[in-house]
Amino acid sequence: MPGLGQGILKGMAITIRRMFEPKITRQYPEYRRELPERSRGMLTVDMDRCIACLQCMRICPDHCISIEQEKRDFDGSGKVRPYAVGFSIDDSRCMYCSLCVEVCPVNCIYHTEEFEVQAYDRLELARQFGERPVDPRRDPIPVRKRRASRAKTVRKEAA
Amino acid sequence: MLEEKRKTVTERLASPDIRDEFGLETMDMNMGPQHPAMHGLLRLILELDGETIVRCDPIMGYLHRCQEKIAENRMYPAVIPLTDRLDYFANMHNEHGYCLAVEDLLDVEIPPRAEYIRVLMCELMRIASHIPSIGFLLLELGAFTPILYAFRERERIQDIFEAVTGARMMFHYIRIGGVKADLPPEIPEKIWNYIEGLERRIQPDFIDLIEGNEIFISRTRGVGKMTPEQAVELGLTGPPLRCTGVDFDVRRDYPYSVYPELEFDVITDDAGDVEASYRVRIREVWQSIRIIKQCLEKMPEGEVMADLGRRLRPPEGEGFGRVEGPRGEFAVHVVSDGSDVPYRVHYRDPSFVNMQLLQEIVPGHYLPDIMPIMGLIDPVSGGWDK
Repeated sequence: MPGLGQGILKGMAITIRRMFEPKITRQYPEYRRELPERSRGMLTVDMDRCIACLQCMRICPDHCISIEQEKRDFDGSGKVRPYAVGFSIDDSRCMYCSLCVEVCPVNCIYHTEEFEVQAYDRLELARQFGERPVDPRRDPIPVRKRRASRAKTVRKEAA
Repeated sequence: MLEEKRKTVTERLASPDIRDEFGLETMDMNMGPQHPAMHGLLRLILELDGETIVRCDPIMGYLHRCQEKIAENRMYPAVIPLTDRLDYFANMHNEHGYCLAVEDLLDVEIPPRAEYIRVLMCELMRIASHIPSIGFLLLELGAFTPILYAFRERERIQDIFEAVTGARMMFHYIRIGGVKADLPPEIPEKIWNYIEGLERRIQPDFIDLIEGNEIFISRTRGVGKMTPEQAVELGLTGPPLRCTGVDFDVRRDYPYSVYPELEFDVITDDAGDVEASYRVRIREVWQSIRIIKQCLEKMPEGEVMADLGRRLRPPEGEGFGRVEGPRGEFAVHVVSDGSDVPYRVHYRDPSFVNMQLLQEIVPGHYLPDIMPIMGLIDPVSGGWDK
């Protein structure tokens, strides 16, 4: 057997060489590396800037953003503007795809560096911003509505 | 040898006299879905004659998430993060395939820089998929070290991905009409350094360690042997097809993106067994390194996103996109009805199609050979179940 024991020798040579190289494992809870600038963590909203345009709610693939909108007269001039009274982000649904951040016209919704989130109850994960809480289970339904209307026209054409 | 094995199995089963005389009977055995060595959630119903497999039926669906149906209720851009969840070892290729299909519908021009970034990211993804898949193959054969070395490489690539896209696995980076954002200024140099380091490490850490190892050879040589005709008949793509000697690669034969401008070889091997699939994979890593270097050298300056307007409403019609993923051809078919949600999205995932070889190839092998054969296919359960 010409190759007897060579495999072990080769393997041990690599093992020994590795012993003198810096380790790449990191002791996670004690050591936290710096996150890159683009890192996508939990979402947060700056309610002062929000104009309640509802674009983030509509684009969200997981329907994790729920907004309660109200028309309010801010300066008493009789001109009403939409205002988000309630704003909730359900972290149990969010998949950090960043679509809401991209559509926001005033950059009021953005990613933080936080990514560790835990709770005993699923609804605890729905974080509330704004004046009064919103039921996070409420689903925005524009897409389904559109589908239904399309199905109707298809049925009409077929008939 | 395998032919003989198979023949004896069929002969023994065919003659009821022998079976009655010696009390021979086959035994059904379930392997998985929660098997420690199984690739994801796959259940195999095995009919065993002693230690020899007579029949192998894969049962899928334990990770089915209705991806295609969900896509019918999402706006076009909002489907991209869902494609990340298909084959979670080839996220970039899934995104690329879907975006190519929608761009086919829209008929848009992609900025050249975006095309180069896409190819660059896809090839990095291929390295990040091939090296762990070799590690998994060896892990299932009982070697623990290679998987750690493989994941060390993958972690470094994931660090690059995180700096570029913001996430380590679910990137959501390739978009319809380009890519999300330009590369950060320090990244090209980082990729270059990493690639050069990988070139130095790949020979001692993988090739020298694995090739020529007696245990590896005895477990993989001649196992899962198939002919080119069989592979074509089964519709295999990717390394399982190329390891039989069929020279087919979507990147070269149906070129997309900027692949026609890049130089690379399509790796094939004649043996058509598990060892050959390993050789194809590790040599494809070299080719990916070649492509990445060319991308970094040739990458032009400019925009990374085509202007498509705010609301995406492709015209009625059908779009098709195909890419060469690490496991084979990934194709997407999108049908549009003119609204801003797709009417139908269909994914052709290589993991799912390549799984067919289980029924054809596995009978006649011994039970422990299942694991190397799974390593040959290297399926990902997110891919076959969708």
